[in-house]
Amino acid sequence: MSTVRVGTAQPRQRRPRASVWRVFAMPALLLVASIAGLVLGLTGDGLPDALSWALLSIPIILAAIAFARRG
Amino acid sequence: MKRSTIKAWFVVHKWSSLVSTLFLLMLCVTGLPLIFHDEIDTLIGEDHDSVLEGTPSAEGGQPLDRMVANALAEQPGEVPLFMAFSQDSPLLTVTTGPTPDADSADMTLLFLDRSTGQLIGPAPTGGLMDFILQLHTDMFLGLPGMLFLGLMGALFVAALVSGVVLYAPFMRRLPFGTLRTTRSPRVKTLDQHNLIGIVALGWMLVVGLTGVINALADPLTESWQNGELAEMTAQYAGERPVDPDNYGSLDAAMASAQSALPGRSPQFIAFPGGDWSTGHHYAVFFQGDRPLTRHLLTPALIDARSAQLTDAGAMPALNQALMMSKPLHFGDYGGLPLKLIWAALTLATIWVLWSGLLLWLRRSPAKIERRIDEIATGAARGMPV
Repeated sequence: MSTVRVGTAQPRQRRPRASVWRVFAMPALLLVASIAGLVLGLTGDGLPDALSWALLSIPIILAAIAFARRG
Repeated sequence: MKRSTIKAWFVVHKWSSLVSTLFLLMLCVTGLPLIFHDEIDTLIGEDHDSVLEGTPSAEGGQPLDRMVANALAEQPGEVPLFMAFSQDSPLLTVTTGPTPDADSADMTLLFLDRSTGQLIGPAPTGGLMDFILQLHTDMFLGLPGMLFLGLMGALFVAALVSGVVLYAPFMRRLPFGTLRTTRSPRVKTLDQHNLIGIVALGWMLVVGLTGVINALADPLTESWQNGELAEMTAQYAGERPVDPDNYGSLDAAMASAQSALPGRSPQFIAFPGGDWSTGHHYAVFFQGDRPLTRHLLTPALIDARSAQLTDAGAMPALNQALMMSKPLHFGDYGGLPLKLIWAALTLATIWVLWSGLLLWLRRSPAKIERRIDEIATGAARGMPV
């Protein structure tokens, strides 16, 4: 990608660009956890349900952590 | 990713969202109470399933013929259309209507107790939950409304996919979970939109896609009736439908059905002449025998006069997908904790929709190129390297 102007902000050191794989590592994990949780819940009562609740809570908990740490 | 590619995805994201957002907000707001409809029914004393005690109506109790007779005594001159069983309690429902092919608006749903054979009463109609469900399903517009909301669901899926594509270049310089709060209000909203969107992605995709499939329920049932079902009952083609006066014993029909599909629990019986059977058959729909297949129904078609089995067999793949889509859309298959998770993720979806709308409302004109730049170079402060 060639250079592109971004407003008039001060020149600063930027974070290096992460690869697409790195950017999507966490989202992919969350996607798999969510879908596994949704399907597991269908496979029975008891343990599968508990696993389903745990897996589906991961995205909610991670979002809550991000909000708690924002700044 | 090329700048022009990013711009194309940006336009897809913007328009698929803008067109559908208000309808999706309505679906979220109406969906929220629907998640808890069982609990709400219990609160207002309409959940007979949790009150009645005894053998589940799917397993046994008073003869089915007697249950039909008791229901028809309440609705003189009408004909039976459906009978549905409970897996948990003696509750049994019978739907009646003026004719075998009656419109759903003319049907009456009756609650009965199969352990005693007594009528409990007609299902309450016209309540707030009915209103909410109707709004959520078809906005009181019937099939066109359903298909329209299905289309909005498809746009939602398109918005999710394009949102994920834009997430990649935008987040290349930001660690996962970044919420910048010290910059402009727009950046603050944008970061929240991206974080909650990516975190709830899996759930939103599943609920969106299953919503689209549910919106196609009527056409899918019709295609089964005209295709698979017509083939299974080909020898009856051209015969006059059986007159309700000539319906044979339902108990005998159930016995034939259960010997064709042994070990399975019946969920409902469709009487001749409606959308779920032929003009000549009792269609007995059985649940699968394992937890995962519990939602997959298999019909046994029983000649309504002779009570002999005509055929039994699984429904086509698309109809099976429809049956699996229901629990995955409603979130009613994993107890109260799953419903609470469903509600939390619905609230998250509302926030994604609302923040997206805010981002669009607060946009400054003629700055689309700068927004594309922001995505293309990766969000951060300062000049690009």
